Amino acid sequence: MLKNINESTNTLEEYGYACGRIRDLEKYLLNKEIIHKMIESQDLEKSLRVLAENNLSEYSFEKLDSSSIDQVLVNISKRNLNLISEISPYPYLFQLFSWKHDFHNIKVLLKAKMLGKKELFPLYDLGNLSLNGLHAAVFEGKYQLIPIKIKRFIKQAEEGYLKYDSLQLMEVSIDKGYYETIFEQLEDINQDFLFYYYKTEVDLLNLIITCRCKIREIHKSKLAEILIKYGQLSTQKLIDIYDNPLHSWSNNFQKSDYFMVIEQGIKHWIEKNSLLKFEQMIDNYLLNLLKIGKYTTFGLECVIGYYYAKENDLKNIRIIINGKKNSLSDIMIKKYIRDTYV
Amino acid sequence: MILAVNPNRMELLKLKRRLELANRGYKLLKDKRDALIQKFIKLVYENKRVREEFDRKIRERTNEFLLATICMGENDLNSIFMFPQRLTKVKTEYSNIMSVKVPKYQITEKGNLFTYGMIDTSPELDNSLKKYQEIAPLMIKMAELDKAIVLLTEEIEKTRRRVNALEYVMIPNLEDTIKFITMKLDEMARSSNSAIMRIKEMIRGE
Repeated sequence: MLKNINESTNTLEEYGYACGRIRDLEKYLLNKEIIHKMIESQDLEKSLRVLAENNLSEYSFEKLDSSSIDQVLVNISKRNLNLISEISPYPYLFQLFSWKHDFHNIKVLLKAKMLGKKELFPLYDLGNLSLNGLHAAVFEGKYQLIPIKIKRFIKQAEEGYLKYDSLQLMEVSIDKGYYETIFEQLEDINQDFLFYYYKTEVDLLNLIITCRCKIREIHKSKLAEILIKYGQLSTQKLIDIYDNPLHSWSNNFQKSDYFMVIEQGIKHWIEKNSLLKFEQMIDNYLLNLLKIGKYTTFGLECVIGYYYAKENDLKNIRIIINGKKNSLSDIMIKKYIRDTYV
Repeated sequence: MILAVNPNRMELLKLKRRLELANRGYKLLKDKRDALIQKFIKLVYENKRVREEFDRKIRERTNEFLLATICMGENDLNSIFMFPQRLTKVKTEYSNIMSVKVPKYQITEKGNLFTYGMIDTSPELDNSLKKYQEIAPLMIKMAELDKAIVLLTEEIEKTRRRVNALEYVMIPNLEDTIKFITMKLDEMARSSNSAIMRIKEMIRGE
């Protein structure tokens, strides 16, 4: 984390107001103590009561069925995004965080089109593009309400599906489109920290994608089409090690920042045949990277750190709720809970 | 119980032949019943083993699936599974166990199991689905064994009833009837002997 502090850090005075607001809001983020209390509660109801007891009234769940809980968490995520856009001097920066919802919607709509269904789909109303625009583009071929590059991704994905009859490849093509959009926008924004964050995310994602390709028994020759090219790690390196024994993978990344994550993640995968630990370590690594925001008084890092910290809280709450609902043991829930920002 | 037949030599011969046939059938059916029971017990043990393995695996897989999807919301999960491309077909063939036609199921799978991307889904989901898929043949095997056990049970019951009918009804009835006819024929022979003897005496007395 500290390696990201340089001469350009903490110099953006226009973020003074946003950082001040966020310092106050950080008090309402979940800490380890609250999370442990929630996990150790007897049942789901008592677990959610812990949130209210700690002045976290934002998380008020009237009904405890899956869709209601999901809706509350999605609304909090929406409010979180709106809030940072409002307090930030450059709201357009935060379009970056909404693209994932747009691309999720594109995937769902394309799948629905392939299925020949036009009824209700699980869409997110959190994206940069209007749902009507996307609907018209996917179902009716009317692309006026969406950007040209998105039209290109939709067409590419559709053509890919029709050619190979593979939803997997269709989604991979949309995922690549997502990162293309993000990095195009990052070029415009020109913020070192954001670049660094997304490049790290892509690297770690490429590592996990390589593991997933191994599980899905995808041939080495296809890997180049699947990996995302915007990271710091060379995708060729990942392709080269693909057929090597798993235990030797981490040796190739000894000089990389992610060595510990890769070594322990792969070790756990070999021993337990599970990628859960790897996934958790990646999330924790990225969160740790964002913790620079806690030490920034004038900078974008503070706002981004808060945004992801809140998203991380939502993830932790989801883990606890799902764990409690399915009667998972406290130890099991604690094992997979993510690190906290504060 | 004595059968309603005419007590004559012809019937006696017929009944003796039927008794012989019934005894032979009884022996054969008893052997069949024993063999069926033996096979049945073997299948029950195999079923128990497969069911225990299935129960253990399904519990493990369900837990793994739960952990894999623990971070995911309902929307994400629904979108992942809204368009499955995997097609599973079950082909049925029959084998013969002691004249019982027992089905043998063969599972064939086609299409991609993974119909979702890799950036917004849990990596463990791939593992979990793959492991889930591995228990499908076990489930089919369990269904095959269950069906075989049901069919064998019906056949054992049918054979047992036949064996019992032969052992406790048909054979005793035939034996009783044969005994009755034999006695009746003996009685007739004795009465005709005494009639002959009386006639002889009457002739001598003249």
